[in-house]
Amino acid sequence: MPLLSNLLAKDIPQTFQKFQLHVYAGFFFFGLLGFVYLMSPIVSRRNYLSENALSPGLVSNDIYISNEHIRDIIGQLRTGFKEKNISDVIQSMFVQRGIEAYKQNLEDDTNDENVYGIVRAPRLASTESIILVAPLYVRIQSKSQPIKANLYGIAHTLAIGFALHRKPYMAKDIILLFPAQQENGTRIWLDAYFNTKPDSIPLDAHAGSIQAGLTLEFPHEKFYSIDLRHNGINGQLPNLDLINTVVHLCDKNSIPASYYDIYVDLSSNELFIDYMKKSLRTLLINALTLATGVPSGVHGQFLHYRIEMITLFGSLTKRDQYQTSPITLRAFDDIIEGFIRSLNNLLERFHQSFFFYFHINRRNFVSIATYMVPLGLIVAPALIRSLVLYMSFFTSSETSATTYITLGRTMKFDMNYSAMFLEILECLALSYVLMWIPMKFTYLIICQITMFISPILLRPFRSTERQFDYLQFILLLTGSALLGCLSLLNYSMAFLAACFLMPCYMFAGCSKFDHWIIKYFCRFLFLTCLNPLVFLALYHYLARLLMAGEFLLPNFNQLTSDFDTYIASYRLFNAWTVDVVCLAIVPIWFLLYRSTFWIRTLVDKTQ
Amino acid sequence: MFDKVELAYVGIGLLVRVFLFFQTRIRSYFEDNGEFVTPLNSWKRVIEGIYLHKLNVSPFVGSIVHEMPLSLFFYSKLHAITQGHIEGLFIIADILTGLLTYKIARRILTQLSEEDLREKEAYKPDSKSLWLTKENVQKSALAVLLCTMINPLSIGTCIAKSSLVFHNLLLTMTFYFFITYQLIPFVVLLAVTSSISLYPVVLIVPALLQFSKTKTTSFSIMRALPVIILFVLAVAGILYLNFFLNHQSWSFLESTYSFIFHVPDYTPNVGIFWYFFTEMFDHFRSLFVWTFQMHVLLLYLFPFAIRLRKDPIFLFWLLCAIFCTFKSYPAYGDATFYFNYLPIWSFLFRYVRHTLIIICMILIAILMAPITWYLWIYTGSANANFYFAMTMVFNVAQTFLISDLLYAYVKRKFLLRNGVTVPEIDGAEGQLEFR
Repeated sequence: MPLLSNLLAKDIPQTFQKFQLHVYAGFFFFGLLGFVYLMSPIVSRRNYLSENALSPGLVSNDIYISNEHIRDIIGQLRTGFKEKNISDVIQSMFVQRGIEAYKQNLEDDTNDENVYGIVRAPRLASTESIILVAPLYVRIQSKSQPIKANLYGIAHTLAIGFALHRKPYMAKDIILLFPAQQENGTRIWLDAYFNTKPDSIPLDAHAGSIQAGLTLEFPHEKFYSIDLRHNGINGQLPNLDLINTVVHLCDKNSIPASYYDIYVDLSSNELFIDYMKKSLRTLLINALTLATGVPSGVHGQFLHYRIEMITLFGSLTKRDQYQTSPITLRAFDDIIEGFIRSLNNLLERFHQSFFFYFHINRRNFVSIATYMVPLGLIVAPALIRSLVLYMSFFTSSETSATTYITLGRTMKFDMNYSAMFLEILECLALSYVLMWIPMKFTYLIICQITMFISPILLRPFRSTERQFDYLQFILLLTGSALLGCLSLLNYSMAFLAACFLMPCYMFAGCSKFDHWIIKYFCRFLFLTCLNPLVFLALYHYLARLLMAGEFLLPNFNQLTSDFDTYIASYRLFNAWTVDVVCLAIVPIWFLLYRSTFWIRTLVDKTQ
Repeated sequence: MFDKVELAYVGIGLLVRVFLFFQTRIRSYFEDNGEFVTPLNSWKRVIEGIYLHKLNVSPFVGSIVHEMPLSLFFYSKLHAITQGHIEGLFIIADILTGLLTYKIARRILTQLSEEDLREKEAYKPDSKSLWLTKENVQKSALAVLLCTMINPLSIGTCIAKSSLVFHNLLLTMTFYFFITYQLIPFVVLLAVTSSISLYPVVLIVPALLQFSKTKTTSFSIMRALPVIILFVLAVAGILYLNFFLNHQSWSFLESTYSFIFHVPDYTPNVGIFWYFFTEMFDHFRSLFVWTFQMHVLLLYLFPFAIRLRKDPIFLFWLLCAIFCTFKSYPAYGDATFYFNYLPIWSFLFRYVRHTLIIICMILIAILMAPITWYLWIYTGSANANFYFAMTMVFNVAQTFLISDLLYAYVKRKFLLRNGVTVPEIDGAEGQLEFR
């Protein structure tokens, strides 16, 4: 089993040596193209329900909620919001109908309270439960009013809860949670519910173990379509079966459902090119938003506790030119009822179906087996190059005309590790400063400039060509290990990191050539295109373009303000995106940048 | 006593360990990590055992404590002396192990180079580049010291407060007495280590080869017999001591030896037992338990002992490597025990065929195991197969490493005696075949 037993430089074909750069660039671009190709209907798979117990839509609807009832609830809620005692109003509504309800103080100076009620299952002891969440206030995309009361969402959650109270078929408790301060309130409630923080005060009541749930964000009194949001913390996604259940129910009730506000009409009315464009937009936004590690709604907090959940957002956009009237109450309640009763049938936790997927539209998705291929193609050059370098380090038996001497594989040269070690240490130390400075754009620019001039201030890496190769070899291995690990945790982030790092590797490797033009060109590239901040700005611009779906001009102020909000929310969610970037990606980039200033020591004794 | 470089290395090791012991988050991560802590060596369980003992309850009634009464007694004394702040002792034990390993490395290398000198006549002169030199010895020994000090796996084991730190110290001491030909301390320590973790019992075979060596013959029954008798006596003595310390009851056998042998605990670790036995129907269990255990204890023992009968030191290391890889509850701490000796064999690396593959596999396994664990246990998006894949990679890498080093060792020996020039046979380059 002599697997790769004889790896020597002479085994590399000469033609490969000549066209190395072309091969690597080819892999990289094929990887990028491959990612884009994921949107094609050939690659993507059609959704299906893996868990038979769910069987959505099979239950005949049993609940009827009248318009007057909803209107009455909304009226009460409105006065509650106006008089700032919304939590009391909700609690009293629960108590009037004989449902237990509790409040939780957020323990901060705002005096906001979470409210939650538990509709106990009549059939069984409280062993399992389903949760419906309606945040008291919802973020909406409007400049004048950033948050709006979630009137319609709360009203429907309450109405469904009241209607399902004492229904004989309910086998799971229903928790109705109304968190204040969106994510913050949710997090405090969850911490208290699961008692994860030592200082949190335990809640008054618990239901069974929470299986799954739904978040309802309906700030407007009418809506024309539902936007599904599923991004969790650090690229985590809910089980695909859960999403499919909702999509099936939406389709059954003729409610248009979209991702990222992009609706794909799957009937034959739509032009193929439009279908492709929309699929690509969905795919790209999906990747770009997941990479941030910040969830797109309160459901992200629940995913963290292994409670599968997505957010339904009532959108005002009309999806069809013939759609004149808003979605009816009846259709909407059917969705929630169908969802709860599907979950009610569930015997096990969600474990079938997919946890790693990309949606390209509501009916089609790409699974992990497919989307790993483009990333593999992008990272492959790093692996091939490291193998080539490794092979060049060794020499084997000397063969003369008559005798063949076998000495095994030995290194061609003596390694002096200390210079390399120092170089790596310096770069790590300099880039770890990033972890300690406040994350403001101006500080980042200053830090970046320090990094850029550091090779002039500090002693650049002096070594023989062999040692330079060795450093590259180590960097290539660490880089591909990092990307491999990331690809399992947060694929989108790994993909973006690979898109950024691979060209860096290539141009740092090019600096091995002695010609001064090449050297300066490489450095120039590192200063401009291959600069993390420029990459960030590009990323931001691309994300904005895709979200808007029309041409926009780059806007620096928007970038800085978005970055600030991102950093603030990132702290709140315990995401680790920034940590990974600061502790792993930036150091590798920095080492590569510094290696372009490499000085060849003339004596290459061992050669 | 130490020169500058050695002091610097020890200083680095000490600093890193002390620093990490103050990082509560990192520490608690390691303490709860299944790759570093197994039911056999978890310090939390030891503490539990000590308290149960204090309350006059037998520690072995539940399935929490799996330490021997003797080691429990020893730990409880340590615990009492340090008043619960045992961390310092772990660091000391780990550093001591490192220093002892360094001493062993020097000794082994000097012995090997002396052997090369002695057998000079028998060697072909053109194999000179394969001979061990003074410079070689110094470099490799220092590399061993550095390796023990900064090996992340041994640091992790120390931080996790795994009692493997003490087991490894004992095993290292055994190795030390083994190469210095001190029969009585060796036999006593071997009896102690094998009574703690059962598997080192196989090391009696290299011991027989080592201590029965005379100038004229490589093995004589008359010299081997006393070693066996001494060993049996020592084991019996230690068993009796355990019996005595456990208030004259044999109840400890169930939760120690039986626990090690029958593998009732399926907590995931870096070994292969847990997954295999969770997947198996119960009625096949005993068959496979015996197969697996014989695989570790007996399968390799005799072939290797016969092949390496003239190299008991290498055999000792090889057997350690094998039982550390295939034992029923392995942790990274077991692997580090033999990883740390690897630089000694640096003169064999030229014949190791899968260097890159082994390094990459071990790297991948170590990096990915916590990630797959996180995906399996915390986010629920992966399952046990992912984690098992990583432990599998780790085990395959170790198997490659062991077989490659054995191959390299045998090949070097062959080339020393037969010269490195490959003769031409029938007009073509000769091929070496190992059978």
